[in-house]
This record gives sequence, C-alpha cells and structure tokens, in this order.
Amino acid sequence: MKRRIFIRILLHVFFPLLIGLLIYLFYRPNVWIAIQFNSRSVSYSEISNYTLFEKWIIFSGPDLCWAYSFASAIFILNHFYKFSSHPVVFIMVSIFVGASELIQLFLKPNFTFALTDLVSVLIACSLSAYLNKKL
Amino acid sequence: MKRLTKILILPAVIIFYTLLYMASQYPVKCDENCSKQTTLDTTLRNKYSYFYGVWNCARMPQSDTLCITVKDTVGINWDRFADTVCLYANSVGLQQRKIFIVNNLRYPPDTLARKQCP
Repeated sequence: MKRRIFIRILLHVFFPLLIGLLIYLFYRPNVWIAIQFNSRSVSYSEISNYTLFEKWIIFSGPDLCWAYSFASAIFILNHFYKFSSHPVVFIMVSIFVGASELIQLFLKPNFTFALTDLVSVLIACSLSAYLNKKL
Repeated sequence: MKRLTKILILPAVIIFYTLLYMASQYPVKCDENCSKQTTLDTTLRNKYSYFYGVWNCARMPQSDTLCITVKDTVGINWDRFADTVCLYANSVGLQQRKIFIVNNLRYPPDTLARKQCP
C-alpha cells in the first residue's frame, strides 16, 4: 500500500512538475525560473515555426502540468486527511486553478491571460480528479 | 499530532504551489541589451544552419561575454565565423564583446573559437 502511494505521488505530483520545469528550461527563456537555471532555450523566432500543437505544449503545457500536480497533491492528501468529499474538493481546486489564470487579467502587462491556459488547467484538474478518485 | 498536520499541510501545499506559480509565470523584462542580443540571435539563426543561439556566458545580464552555441560542422572555419559574429554584434550595438564559439553537443561544452570584438 505504502509503495503504491509513493509511486502515485511520484507519478501524479512530482513527474508533472518535472515535465513543466523541463518545458520552461528548454523553451521559455524569459521567465524567472528559467533565468535562475541559466538555461539555453530555443528562441521565440524558432518556436514561431512550430505547429499549433507544439506551441500549445510549450505555452500551456507548464500550466497544465502545474495544475495537474497541484490537484493531484490535494486529492491524495484528501484521501488521508478527509478535508471534505471528493466532489467538493474538486470544485475548490477548480476554483483555485481557474482563479490563478483569471487573476492574470488584472496583472497586465507583466502577466498575460490566455483562454487556452484556463482551459488547460481546468482539463488538468478534471483529469486529476478522475484518476485520483480512489487510491 | 495528526490534527496539527491536517491543519498545516493544506496551507503549506498551497503556499508551495503559489510560489512555483509565481516563479514560473513572472516574466523577466527584456532590457536594451537583451533586445540587441535577441536581434543578433534572430539574424544569425536566419543565416547559418549550424547556429543554435546566443547566450550570456555569465549569469549577469550585463556581461560582455557572449557564448555562441553551434553544431560542430566539418569544413567551417570557426575563427572566421567568430569574426562574422563580431561584425553582426557591432551592427546591432553590441560592441567590444568577447565571443566564444561553443559546440553545444558536447559536455562539457567545447570552445571552438574565441575572439575579442573591436
């Protein structure tokens, strides 16, 4: 049981964070976290030649990974500490990740809101809720 | 103990993810030096297939050292390429830079040529 939970935490919480971090390091040169690692990322001029799907992975993928990891962490914790029922926690997490995107509407020009990001985080949250319904 | 953990763990997780969110969302503004470097990067990328990118070798944004990462291609005179990079760097306003042509495919990176631009 413990081993299964450990694997679940690795797979659903830490692995998405790692994927998101790698996308930042290799494709997003202008954000704080990428600067700290002094990464050598692909330039925007090259990214402009990528397909729409590749651009979605690069620009919305990290948000999706972050939201999936966060939602999974909360759902897994909820199994242990019983904060509330699974649907209620799902609604709370959805509001939190949705707000994290919507707040960017009011933080221009340093933050930029994108509808694709909002849709991505809500998809991530729903997917995590489905996959982490039972331990 | 379990009750205390239950109270503390949720805010701790939320704070951790909020910090991650801030670190990953907050853009670093591209200053004058950075935009010149971007112009140089775009120019070289459009002209040379073996060129990968221009970076500050040091972490400081105002460093006078530019690392030019390339794919080590047979038949290219890297000293001459460093001269060419100097010309382009000067033309976009990056004067007196130290240029390092670096093979990006090796670890640790291999310096193929170096040049002090006029």
